[in-house]
Amino acid sequence: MITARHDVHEAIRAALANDSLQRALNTHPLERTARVRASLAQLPDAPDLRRRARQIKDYSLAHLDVLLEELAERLEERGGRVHWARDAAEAVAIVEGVAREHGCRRCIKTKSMTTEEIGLTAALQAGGVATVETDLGEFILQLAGDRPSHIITPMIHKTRQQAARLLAEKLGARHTEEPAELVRIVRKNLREVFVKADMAVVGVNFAVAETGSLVLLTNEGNGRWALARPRVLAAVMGMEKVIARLTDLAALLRLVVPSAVGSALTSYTSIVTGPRRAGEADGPEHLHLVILDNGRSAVLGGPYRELLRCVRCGACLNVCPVYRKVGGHAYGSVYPGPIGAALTPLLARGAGHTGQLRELSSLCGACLEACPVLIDIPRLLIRQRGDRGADGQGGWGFRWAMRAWGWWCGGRRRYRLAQQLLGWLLGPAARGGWVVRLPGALGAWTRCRDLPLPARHPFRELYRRMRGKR
Amino acid sequence: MRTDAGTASERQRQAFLENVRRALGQTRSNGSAAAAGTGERTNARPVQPENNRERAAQAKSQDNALEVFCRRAREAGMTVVRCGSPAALGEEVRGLLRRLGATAVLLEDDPLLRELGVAEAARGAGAQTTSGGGAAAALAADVGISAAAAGLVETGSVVLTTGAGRSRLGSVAPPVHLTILPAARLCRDWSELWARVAGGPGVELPALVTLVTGPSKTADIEMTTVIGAHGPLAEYVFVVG
Amino acid sequence: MGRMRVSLLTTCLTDTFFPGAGAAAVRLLERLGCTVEAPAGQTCCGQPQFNNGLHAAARRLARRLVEVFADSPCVVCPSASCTALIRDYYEWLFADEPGQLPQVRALIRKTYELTEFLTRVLRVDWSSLGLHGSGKVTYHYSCRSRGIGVGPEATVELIGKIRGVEYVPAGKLDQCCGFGGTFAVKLPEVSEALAADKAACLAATGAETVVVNDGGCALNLMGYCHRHGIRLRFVHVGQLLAEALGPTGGAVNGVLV
Repeated sequence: MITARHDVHEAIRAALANDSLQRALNTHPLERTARVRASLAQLPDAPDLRRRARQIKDYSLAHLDVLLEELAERLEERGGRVHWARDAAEAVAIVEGVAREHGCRRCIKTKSMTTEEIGLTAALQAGGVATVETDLGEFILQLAGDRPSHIITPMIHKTRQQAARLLAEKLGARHTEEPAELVRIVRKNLREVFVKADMAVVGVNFAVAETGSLVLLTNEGNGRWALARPRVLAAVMGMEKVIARLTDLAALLRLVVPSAVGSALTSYTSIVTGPRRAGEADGPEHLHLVILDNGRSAVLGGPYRELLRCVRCGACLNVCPVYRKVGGHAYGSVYPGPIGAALTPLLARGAGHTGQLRELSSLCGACLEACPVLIDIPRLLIRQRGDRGADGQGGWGFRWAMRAWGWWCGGRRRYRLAQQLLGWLLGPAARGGWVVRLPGALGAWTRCRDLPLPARHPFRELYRRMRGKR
Repeated sequence: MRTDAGTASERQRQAFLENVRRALGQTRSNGSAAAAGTGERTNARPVQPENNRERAAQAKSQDNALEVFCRRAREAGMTVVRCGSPAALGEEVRGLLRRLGATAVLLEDDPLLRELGVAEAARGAGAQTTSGGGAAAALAADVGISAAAAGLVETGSVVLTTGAGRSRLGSVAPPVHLTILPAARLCRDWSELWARVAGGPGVELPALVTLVTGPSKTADIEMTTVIGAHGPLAEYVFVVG
Repeated sequence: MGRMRVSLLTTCLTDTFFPGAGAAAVRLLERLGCTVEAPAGQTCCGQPQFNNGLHAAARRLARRLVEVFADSPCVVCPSASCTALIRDYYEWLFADEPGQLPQVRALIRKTYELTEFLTRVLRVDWSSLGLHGSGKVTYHYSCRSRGIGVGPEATVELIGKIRGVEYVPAGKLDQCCGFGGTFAVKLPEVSEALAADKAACLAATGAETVVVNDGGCALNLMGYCHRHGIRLRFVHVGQLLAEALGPTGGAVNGVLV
């Protein structure tokens, strides 16, 4: 879930100094945001759709136990098998068990943040099951031994040159930097992998309780190979993905896909209801659904429940000013961006650097504005900052200073005195009305900007004069 | 039918659900958590409704539905051709296969395709045709031809379903995929779609329902859209009627 | 028809660093037919404490503010972020003090950001006022305006009413400038990168003047531009409009201003 021994500030500095990353971050998230906005503008009732989407997810969460049971029953009626994993270790063990049970040695994977969360690929490989990521971006990252940095476009941080070098090096392909040709190389390379795979591991975008269906939204076609060819299918799903009815699915898709990629639907929307049926030519003989908790029930039971509405569209990442500057890896967690900052500390309680994640926000609200299910991330981050016992990044000295500042503002006279003191303290350090260096921790301000001196006559004085008083 | 999962698996399920129930029970009794959590802030800046009246007015008559479907399907990157009759369809099929230089064609074993004489048309273009579901055929085909169970106007998608004689691979593996869609199978919106493919929402869905809304593609490399990834490089839709 | 009574919620940053913006807001509102008073007892809304999770400290300041403005029929604030704090968060802040909630809700109902007040409450008919100006003007959208449902178009429209002024939209118009209050000193490198980004977008417009509607953004961007020799004049939207009204205002609602 999180990167061990991750230093957020060091990672931020490295990200800001990484020119090719900065070039990527300066264009791609903005392009994607523009497309998303254009796509959403075509919906006649976007604000209503968002409220309805929120309602659907809130209902699901409030009835999660009932819906999960219904989902399981329907799926089992259709011949699927359902497993319940309370944590990452259980989930990995289950998938390994499925592979063993069916004698699978060659596994293909589609893109799934949930499987990243539980570290499934490494575990399967270690257990002797060759596991190939088939989503193009994930495939290239796997070759590089790298991790995704975005929920939807995993290798947003890599250039075509880097991709070209990797394919040439690891696949012996001829060197080309043309994206179309790179894709062709990967297509050719993976075709045999698809044909020979005996097991597929997929993620789940939505699960419909009413019918026992799993919904996969894909563009590349690798998801469809996974549903067509291997005889064993294992789907790993965060438990919050379940929704009640097919009608709910339509309402969510209308909003989620445009929010994620800026089009009405992805190229392929696959609705899977059980393994293959009698008389059918292909499709998995065995379908296993692994439902994952891994900290979600704790979130469900508390004031942060709305985070579980998340449909993993990635819209918040694309609009976040912090993400746009530091990229995904700087967060040091499987889920980056605003949703990652808010959710990770709750799923991975007290682990590593998670206490710092809530600071990776200027509270600008762009995420809330973009979120199709109206998750109020700024509010939740503020709440986390206020949680008792929270070790704020600033430490007790910072908190003391903030409280002291509050005290100075607590009365008219001491507030006025504070203004005067500020002017007297800063005056000598100023040049031409501007302070160029502040002491101590405040020096962070003056590293890159000046501070104007407080006005000689603050507004309250001007106002008194305007009213003819002294 | 529930396979006999054994007590261990049942215990697993109960333990899992117990955690969920406990969490829900906490908030059901603890009102303040709910009150302080989710506020009414929608923060939704009003979306410019420029195209909306146009779109809303369009979803009226059946003729318009076909136009809208074709437009959206094209916007999604599919090549859409309207065929007034089975004869016209045959022409288009022959024309397409010749243009592609296709020699191996895989058709679904489907009554609609038989009725429309698609196999004959394909052979008329000099292609070898195979029918039904065989992986080898799917892997060797230049073109895969499917019959659409439905079309969804709202998104411009063709809808494929599984069944006997239909190979999933047949619409995934070949570099070109063609869907034959009778105009009468168009559904204006999702609820019509569920009614058509399941006999009503929640009745009985096929093992796999696939909405195809464009050829396979990826934008993973520097956000540059490349058409043709692991699935078909091109999707054709021939609408009949 | 009587004049509307409004109270000005100055904000601590405007009071301390940008008194001219406060004065302009008063003059503007008066010329538009309001009676304006700025209660002397006001200090700070508590946002820095609140954003950092120090909610007890924030509540003390909020309680004071609620009291100071208890008798005001209408509160107008030149800063988007302070308005947003009150409207979006004060109710939550007092969730455990139900006794306070009626007064808090009353304040929430009657508090407006200046642009919002001019557009939605006063509904000023600008065409009858003959606004005049000159030069190229651009705009930095304060991200906190989102919280109160005010989009960039509100201010852009106002700028558009000034004859002689050429509005040039800045790139990344609605991207946060990197102030974020204490964010600027807690995540200084990211804050700097955002300030640099925004300053570059503003400078690229070729405009001489940048309109802002938040003191925090102004402090951040003015400081950055001054350090880096970027010549941009930052004005509050109230100042721009007050200047555009000219020395003689004409009449509004039958009242000579």
